[in-house]
Parts: sequence; structure tokens; C-alpha cells
Amino acid sequence: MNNKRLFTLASVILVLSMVLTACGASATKAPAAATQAPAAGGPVVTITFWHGFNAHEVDFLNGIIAKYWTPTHPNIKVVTTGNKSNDDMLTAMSGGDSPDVIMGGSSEVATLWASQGAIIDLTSAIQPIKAQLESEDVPAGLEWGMYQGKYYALPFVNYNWGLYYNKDLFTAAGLDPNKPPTTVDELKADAIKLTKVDASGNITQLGWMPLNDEWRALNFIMNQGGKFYDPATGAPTFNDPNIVSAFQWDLDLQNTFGLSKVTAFTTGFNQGDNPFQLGKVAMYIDGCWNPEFFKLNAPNLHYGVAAIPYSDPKYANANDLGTNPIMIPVASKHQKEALEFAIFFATNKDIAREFSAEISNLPQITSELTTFTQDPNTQFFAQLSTSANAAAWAPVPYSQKYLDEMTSAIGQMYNSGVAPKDALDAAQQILLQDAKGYTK
Amino acid sequence: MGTRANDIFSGKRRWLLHVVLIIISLAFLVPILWMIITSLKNTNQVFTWPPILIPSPANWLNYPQALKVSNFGRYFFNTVFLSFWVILGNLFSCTLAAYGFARLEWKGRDVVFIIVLATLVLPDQVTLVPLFIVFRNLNLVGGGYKGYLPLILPFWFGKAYYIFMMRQFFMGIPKDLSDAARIDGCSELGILWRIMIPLSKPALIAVSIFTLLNTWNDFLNPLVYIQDPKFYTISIGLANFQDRYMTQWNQLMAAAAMMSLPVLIVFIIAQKQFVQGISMTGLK
Amino acid sequence: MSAQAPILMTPLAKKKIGHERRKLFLGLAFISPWMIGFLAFTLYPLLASLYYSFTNYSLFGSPKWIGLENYINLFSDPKFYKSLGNTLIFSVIVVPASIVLALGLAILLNNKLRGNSIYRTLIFMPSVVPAVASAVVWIWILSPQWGLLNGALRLIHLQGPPWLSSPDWAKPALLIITLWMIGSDMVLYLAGLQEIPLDYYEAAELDGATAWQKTIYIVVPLLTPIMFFHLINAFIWSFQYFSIPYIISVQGSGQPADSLLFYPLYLYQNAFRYLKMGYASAMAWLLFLLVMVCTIIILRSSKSWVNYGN
Repeated sequence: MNNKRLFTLASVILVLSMVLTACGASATKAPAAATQAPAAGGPVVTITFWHGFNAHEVDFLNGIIAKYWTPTHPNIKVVTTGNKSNDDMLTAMSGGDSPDVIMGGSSEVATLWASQGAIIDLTSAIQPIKAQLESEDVPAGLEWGMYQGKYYALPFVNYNWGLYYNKDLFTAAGLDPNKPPTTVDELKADAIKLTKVDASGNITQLGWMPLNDEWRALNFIMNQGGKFYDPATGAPTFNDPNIVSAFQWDLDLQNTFGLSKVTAFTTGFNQGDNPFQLGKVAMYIDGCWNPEFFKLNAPNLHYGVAAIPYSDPKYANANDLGTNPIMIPVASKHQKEALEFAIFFATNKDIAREFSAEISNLPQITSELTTFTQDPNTQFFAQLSTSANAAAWAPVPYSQKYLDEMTSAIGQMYNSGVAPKDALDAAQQILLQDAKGYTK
Repeated sequence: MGTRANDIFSGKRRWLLHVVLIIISLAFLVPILWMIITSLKNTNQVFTWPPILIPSPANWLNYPQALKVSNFGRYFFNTVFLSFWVILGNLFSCTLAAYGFARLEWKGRDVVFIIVLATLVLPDQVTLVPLFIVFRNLNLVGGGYKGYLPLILPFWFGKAYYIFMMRQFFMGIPKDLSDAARIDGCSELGILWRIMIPLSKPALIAVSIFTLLNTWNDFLNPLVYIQDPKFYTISIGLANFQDRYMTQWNQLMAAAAMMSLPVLIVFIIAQKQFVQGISMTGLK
Repeated sequence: MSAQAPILMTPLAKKKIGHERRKLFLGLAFISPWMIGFLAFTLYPLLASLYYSFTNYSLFGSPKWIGLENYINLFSDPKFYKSLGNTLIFSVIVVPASIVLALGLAILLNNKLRGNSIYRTLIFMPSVVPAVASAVVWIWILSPQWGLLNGALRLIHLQGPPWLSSPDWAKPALLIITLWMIGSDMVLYLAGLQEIPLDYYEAAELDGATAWQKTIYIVVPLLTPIMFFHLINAFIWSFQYFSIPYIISVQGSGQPADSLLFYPLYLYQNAFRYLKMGYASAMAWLLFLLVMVCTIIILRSSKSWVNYGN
């Protein structure tokens, strides 16, 4: 072939490929065909339900469905698949074999997926029960499911974080085991009293677990008045002065003993080991599911739970109320049945109560908060979830990236010695850029 | 394989060489040994100091336990099934192409072969997203065996690395054999099938082994394309196991050992072919 | 075509052209599966990637043309530079280290020692262990408090670093894992060493050359073709480094402090976690250009230091 022919051929292939790509990409917009709901006694429709629970929770979930759903809905068979990560669900939703109902493994995905058109707008479907939902459900739990004023996800068993403190270590340090710190000043004083150092300056007991974990950090920050986003514009505000000062406060506290010493201490535990459980850390922030866990694995641990200390009373009792969002993928081929199931599952009081008790989370329905457990510690968390300052920390489309940027910033501040102002300014720039891509 | 060893070290230095080599080889072996040793420990023997070197009695139960919680048997079968189709396709397409490049004279052949070589230099990530979109549009992402097609198809259409290997080998077969057959009226396809392939057994075995290893090892592609847990390959299975059972090192090591053992056995049996295959690719 | 007197073709000339055509047809027929594969799985995705890089595409809905915006954002994205830096740093260290180690081990093994094959097998075995399994085993070995490595260091009174928990030590840890799998590269050099004629050594011996001199002046120059092949392979491999960092940073987070956020990992995150297919495609094309440029540079430079034969 001479050069001219070769060039022509190459150009044709080039143009053809680009045209094909453009055509192929837009050809996949076909909306899912809605199937007719069968009349009672009619053919059985099978829908698939993906969730992120694993091990024995999978069996429990199946049991719950068999107990409450199946007897009253013989026409719609629900097949569950557990241990699905958010990434798994996303890839499946974008393909041809999408599950019909999904329960996200984290709260943050709902807004992202809503903004990308991956899940359906539930607003019209839940119109009949909207009033009921808003009056019965814990208000903060509903936040994660909303995007641009519309409902895209229904909350299911919520969870939050609080302060855990070791009563025995308190007593040993001369502190009142029934009086955990309520302000950050008290927290600092107690932390210093509760930290023990050996002759070479290495830490043998730590008073306050550092905020080098994004969940501890953001819950703490909420109690310092830190705002992560502007509700009016949806823009991130990661370098909010209260957030910068919160990290600075923590770093200053850790530097009392030397940040590197503290890091060496906290990384010396095995992955999966809980230093608080081992009695090596006196106070830390963790989730509402721990009381059950401690009952099983550390029955001799004498601990108490409390609200995270605040910098100002008006921020008191703040906590990030997460949920397990129930969503319907756009690509589901049985949207009507999926909706029926999702609404049933999210509003059934018995299911909320039993499932919360089983996985040590909190019912999303307020009336069940007082009856679902006998454990006083869990009851405390349940009450905390109705506080005025309980909220979704960042129900914005870029919350997934927000978490990742927070993790990176934390790494920089706690491992590489970058000042909070600089780390957060840098992360804020990234997030601002990222957030722009989500305005439609 | 060359038969002449060229001694740079001689005489008294040899015992020193032995010592050095023993230390080095042990260093390479230790992680594999440690994996097996840990897999035979009870949970309370895992975190000890000094470390227990020989757990006794050896807790073989970790293996069936790991199998039970992780469905490894199924993943194993899946990976073997996948490998079979991948190897078959690879042998088919790369021998055809290699023959075309090695034994046929045609205009532009060498230019096209340079393009083949050029594709070797293309990183996977560059084509990852569009290929995913294409397969997604063809409805090949998700459940069932059809989820394997994105992993199988490319091998039925020629992979540069193996074409290169087979071409090297084909070029080493004396031309008179095929010339004679051609004169006898044999078609090119016939020559390939009846003469070249029977003479290429070592190369074909090497290609099969490498493809098997490649499929066994592959993580990115199953991660992206296989959604249904029933169809996971062993690499995804082990990654999931790590996620959930991170702290149960003895079981995790048992799972890792189960993943490694089949390929290690293949390696030990087919060592020569492994080594030959690698040597073939380097020499030019 | 201008009007000309018809060219007279001799029957022989006609037969020759027909023969050429037939050979071309045959050749193309044999490589047709490869060609289809090349167009479908290489060329098309490469060009499609370029197209997507100019769009905003989340897999849901259709791509929206945004021109150069992805590239502009990429160039002001600190994580882009971080991930690129991570990959480049890793590459610059791993590639030469691999060559030196593979060559060194091959030279050590290239002596008529009894037990050679055992040594060779033991050194080769790790390269056969699947990546995911290796990652998981090494996480255990590198555990700061209970891992074998720090345990061994403790025996000689050294305090081992926190390895995978420390941003400074995470990459060195991966270097160790990579070098552990050097066996398959070593075999390449071994094969090359076998090809060196004995007379070269004998001649050097007569001239009174030491082992070191023999290595530098005979072995290394003759092995340059293999080094070149290894160099390109290792270089490409380091730019595709994905499974081990993904497993080691647990579900591909690239932590601690983004020290393990290699370029392919960040690309994967952008595509499958943040649903930014366009952005990921822009990253992909920049990778492609970078690799092309580096490969051409290496190819060009090879003329000066690789000697074939002679």
C-alpha cells in the first residue's frame, strides 16, 4: 500500500472509531422497562436485593425477609446477595444485570449516585407515605437520602458515634468514673492525667486517641462547630476555621507527649485490635455498635459512654447520623416491585427494631428507639440520634471524595508534619474543583 | 539450554559461593515457608514472641475452615474453567499469527510486526475504561458465565507477547521441512497444523503455562468485570477473604497457600518449560 | 491517472504480481484474528479513550463534551502529581535495582556448582506465587509488632520501622516485595550468560583478568541486549503496578498518606469510585503519551550502549 492509501485508511479508522464511540455511548440511555405488577395470585416476580452485610448478618437478613415480607407478599420473591461493596454495586448498576434493590454500605453513596442518575427519584413513589415517613423517622437519618430536595434513598437502621471512656483507668488516675469530660478543656486535662509515659519517653497508656481517623475526626469536629459544607450552595468548606482549630487542638494535645511517640504507640497494635478494648487507651470516639461487641469480646471492660466533648454548649451532642440507604437502580427491570419492597422494608417497625438489635445499630423509626434494646449504653446512642445537632456530616455528591481527601489530609497532618491550615487549604481546593463537576 | 558454565569464580572461592547462595536462596524461600507455617498454627500461636517456628501439632483444620467460609473450591473451579478457555484461544490465535509473521513472506509484514511489538508497550490502564464501556454496552458485565467473555475474548484474537514467543520458535524450525511440504501440495494451514505445531511442543507448553499463570494472577480484570460472587476467580476470592478476615492470619495464610499451591505444583513439574519459555523471549 | 500508452505486461510479470497478491492475502488471512483483536481491543479503545478524555461521563446518561477541561483540572490536581510522582519514584528505583539484582544473581548461579538447580528453583519460586497471595503474605510479614521481618531485626537489636503504616516506609516495603520476585528476570540473564563462549573467558584469563574485570568487560557488554529487553519490560510493568498496592492499601485506598497512591490506582479510583470516566480517560492518555516518549528515548539511547553480537 502506498503512503497516501495508508494515510486515508488510518484517517477513516480514526473518524469511524470516534463516531462509533459517540454513538455507542449515547445508545445506552434506554430507561428500564417498568413491568406490570401482577395481580394477587398472579405470576411471581423475582427481584434481587444487594447489600453489604456479611457473615451471619446475611442469614439474619434472609430470616427477617422470610418472617415479615414473604407471608404478606407471595407474588414478589426477594433474592439477596450479601458482601457487596459500593464499588461492586456501582459497576453492576451500570451494566445490564443490575440488582433491583440495593442497600448502600455507607451513607455517602446515595447523594453521589443520585447526582449521576444511577438511582431513581423516589419522591412520587413515596408520596402516599411521605407525611408518615417524615413524622416517624429520626429526622437526621432522612438527610442522606435527599438530593436537591428530592428523595432518592430511604434510611434504614442508623448509626452514630460517641465518646467511650474507661472507668477503671479514670479511677486509677484519680478521676470520677461517672463524670466523663463534657467540654474540650476538661477533655484535655483528663487526657493528660490519663497518659502514662515510661523512662525513655515511650507511651505505655494513652489518654485520648488521636483524630487520625476520618470518622473520629469528623464527629469531633461537629462538636467544635465545624461545618463541612454550605447548605445553601452545596460547596465544600473544608478549611472552615472551626475545623482547622479542631485539628490544631488535637495535634497540640498529642504534641504534649510527642506526636511521633503517640503514632508509634497507636500503630503498634495489630490490625483489627482495639487499643481501648485492651485497656491501653482511656478515651476514644467510636460507633454505637460497640457495646454488643464489647459484651462478647471484653466482658471485663468497665467503660461508659457519653456525648463527645464540645467547645461551646450550642454544639453539644453533635454526631454524624449515618444510615444504610435503600435505593433503586435506574437499570432495575422490576422497579415497581422493587419500590414496593423498599418502602415496606424501610417503614416496617418490627423489621427496624429487630434488625437494629441484631447488628447493634439504631432504628430509623423514632418510636422504636426506646424499645429495641435493654442495653443502657446502646440506649444512650439511640437518644443521641435524636439530638438537635445530630446530622448528616456532608450529604453532597462529592462526599465520597471528601472522605478520601480527609484521609489524605489527616495523613499529611499526623504523619508528615503538615500544618492543619495548609493541609486543609490544599484539600479544600481539590474539593472545590471536584464539586464543580456535580452542578447540573 | 547451554551446557557450558562459564566460571568466573574458581578454586577456593567456591565454598564461599555456596554459603552465599544458600543464604540467598533461603531468604527467598522464607516468606513461602512462613505462609505455610502460619497456616498451620492455632489462633493463640500466631501472636507470640519469640515466634513459633514449628507449630505442633499442626492445625490442618485451618484449611477446611478457610474453604468453608470463603467458597474457595468454587473460585478454584471458576479460575480453572476460565484458564481453559483463555489458553485454548491463545494457542489458536497466536500460532496462526506467529506463522503468518515467521513463515510467510508478504508485503508489509515487518512493518505490521513492529506494530505488534508496539502494543507490548501499551499499559493496561489506557484501554481499561473504553473497553469496560464497550463490554458494558454489549451487556457482558455482570452475572453469569458471560461475565468471563471480556477476559476470554482478547486471547482469541492474539496477544502480542505470545505471538512474539511463538514467532521466535517458528523461526528456529528449518525451512526445508515446510518447503518440502509445500512442494508436495500442502496448504499453508496444513503445514502449520501438520509440521510446525508438532515440532513446537515445548513452545506450546511454555505458552500454555504462562497463560495459566497470567490468568491465575489476574486481578484488575476480574475486579472490574465479574460481579456475581458465584463466578469470582481465586484472586478476587482471596482479596475478599482479606477484607473480612484480616485478623485471622492463620486462616488467611491457609487461603493464600491454597491459591499458590496449584501454580507452585505446575511450576515444579514443568520447570524446564518455564525456564525455556522465558529464555526464548529474551534472546534476539 | 493521466492517459498513457497501455503498459505491456509480460505473462511472467503478471504471474509475479498475482503471486505477490496471493502471498499478501495469505499473510493477512493468518494474522486476521490478531488484526481484528488489534482494531477492537487496542486501537479502538485507544482512540475512544481520547474521545472520552474530552467529555464528562459518569456511565449513566451520555458523555457531555467539555473540551480540555479534564486536562486543565488534571494539571491543577495535587493528587495527579502525587500519583505520578509515586509511580515515577518507584520506577526509577525498582528498574535499576531489578537489573542489578537479576544480573548479580545470574552471575552467581552461572558456575558449575552442584545444587545450582536447587538454588535456581528456590529463587524462582516467589515469582510464580500469585500477586494477591504475595501481597497478603507480605502484609503479615511486615506487621510492625508481630511480623517476621521486624522480629528478625529485633534479634540483631534493630528497631524495625512501621513499614506499611508509615508513609516513608511503605514504598521501600513494596520494593522488597518486588525484588523478592526477581526470579523470572534472573532466568533471562542466566540464559544469556550461557551463550557467552568460553574462549572469551579463557582469553581474559590469559591476560590475567580478575573476576571483577571479567564481569565488567566481558559479561556486562554481552548481556546488554537482555538488559535492554529487561529494562523496557520492567519499565512498562512499573507503570501498570496495580494489584499489589491495591491489596496492600486495602481496597485500593493508596494509604498511608497517599504514599501508595500509584498512577494506575488513582486512575481506577477516578473511574470506578468517583464515576469520572472522562477524567480517568484523560489520565489514561497522558500515561500513554508519557510511556511512548520514554520508550522512544530508551530505544534511541539503546543504540549507544546495546551491542548485538561482535
